[in-house]
Amino acid sequence: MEYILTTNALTKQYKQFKALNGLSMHVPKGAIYGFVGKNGAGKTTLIRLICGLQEPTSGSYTLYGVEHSEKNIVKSRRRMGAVVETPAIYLDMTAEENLREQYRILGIPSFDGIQELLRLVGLENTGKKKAKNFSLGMKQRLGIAIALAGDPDFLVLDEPINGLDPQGIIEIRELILKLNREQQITVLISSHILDELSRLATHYGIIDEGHMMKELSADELEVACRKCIRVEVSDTKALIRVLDRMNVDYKVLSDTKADVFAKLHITQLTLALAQEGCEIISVQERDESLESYYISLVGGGENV
Amino acid sequence: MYKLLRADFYRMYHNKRIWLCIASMIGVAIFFSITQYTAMDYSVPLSRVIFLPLTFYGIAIAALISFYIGEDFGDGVIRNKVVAGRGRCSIYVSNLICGLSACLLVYVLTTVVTVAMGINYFEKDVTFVEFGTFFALGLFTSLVFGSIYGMLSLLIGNKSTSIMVCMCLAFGMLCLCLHTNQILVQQQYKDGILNLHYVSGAKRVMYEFLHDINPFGQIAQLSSMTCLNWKRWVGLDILWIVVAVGLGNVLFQRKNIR
Repeated sequence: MEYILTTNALTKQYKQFKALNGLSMHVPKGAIYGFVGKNGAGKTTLIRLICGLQEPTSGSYTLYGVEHSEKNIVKSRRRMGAVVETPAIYLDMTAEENLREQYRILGIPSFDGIQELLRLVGLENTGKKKAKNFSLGMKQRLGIAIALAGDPDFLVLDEPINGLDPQGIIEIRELILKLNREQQITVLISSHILDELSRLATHYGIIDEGHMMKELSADELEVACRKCIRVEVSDTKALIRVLDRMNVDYKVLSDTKADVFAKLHITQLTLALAQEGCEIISVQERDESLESYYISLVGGGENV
Repeated sequence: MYKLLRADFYRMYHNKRIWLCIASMIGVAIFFSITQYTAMDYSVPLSRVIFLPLTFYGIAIAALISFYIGEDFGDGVIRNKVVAGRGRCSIYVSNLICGLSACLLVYVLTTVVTVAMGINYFEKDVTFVEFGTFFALGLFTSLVFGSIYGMLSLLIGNKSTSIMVCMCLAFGMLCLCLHTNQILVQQQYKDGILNLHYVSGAKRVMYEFLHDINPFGQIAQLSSMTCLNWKRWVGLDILWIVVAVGLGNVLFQRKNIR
């Protein structure tokens, strides 16, 4: 698999505090990589490092296969766009002026693409309105437009839906999906709003206390979170015999509990268990989500 | 670098604070000229007026530079420059060049307005060479102000903190200048009696050095068109600029940008 970004034992220490502690991650090309973690887990620190805003204390990362310590990393960085924390825009300029300024910074000689960018993020009708009078969602979209100014193929978005209203969240989500599907832009999106992230991401990285807990694809997550029926019985050996006869997938959890990954005919199961002399104590349908998977992985937290 | 300079100059040109700063300084120049012209019974010499409005220059420039550079950090746009692959050195130097240009513009316009008004209303006791020499010294002082405030604003990396620090420094240097100036203007004898407030020897050398190294001290000399030691003035200015550009740049490379 081709990776846009990989990190290897990346560590960032501020005095005695380790914001990143040996973090290793892999962002595949073409993915929407959901970077999940509670507040203070190290998500923004990682983004600051890969954007070149800060230097790692130890470890390394590669961007498009170029090591961060190499001189060419600057060229690799030109292929990415980023919105770190708050959108980086001049508040006393209009949307178009902000984009023109970014074009100058990038050294793009023609401003022809600006209207197209404004259309893409839905800001084509803002005219002479200054950015300071924009709503939070508009500022966020302008920040994304600026990040897209250099025609990047890797977009890094740090908490892009924080503080947005439901309409704003939908707009940003649709924009990210559009960029990923239509322009094949790889997106790294950090968030602690798991429900929203699960609607977007094709890959996940779950970080806690600066350490990568788990990296998995959306398919792998689906398998890990698949629907099941938790059956509590008096004798799991009898349950195993019955389930084997029924030829269904299951996982024994304890002497009395098992998860069954199939649609069960409850009457049939009850009768079969009765014949084995086994009683059913309870039957529960379980539907795990990214949130419950995350909680099971990091043990929950105040800011999840 | 050229691309960054182009972007920074565009922003500076469209930043209303620079025009506000220029307007304020010209306002001060007009006010001082009118006051000197109307308040005195005798004909005031041009040498006393020509650089007088620059007394406020160090404070106005502190506000302008810290606002302008602080805005890059406050609005977070400095991040766009780094992500766009622009080197830290280029970002630092470009911001500094832009800030210094603004300082020079304010200085030149303020002086030109004062001279234009002054030659019509005040006693012409300044030769072109004298004016040119002090004007050139003033250019160095302008660059020192811009370099110090620019370095601080870039290293602090926070708009409100850099404004506060630059303004405090400006007032601090102004107070130091008032103190050194008060000591240095004392005559050795007053009415034929030895003045006890007059300092001499090593102490005087130290006060002169403090007056020369302090850009407000240089402004004080400029406003009265006197110069303790022009070589030391220029030498210390070059030292300030080298430290601000060199050391500031080195520290900026290591700075954690948020």
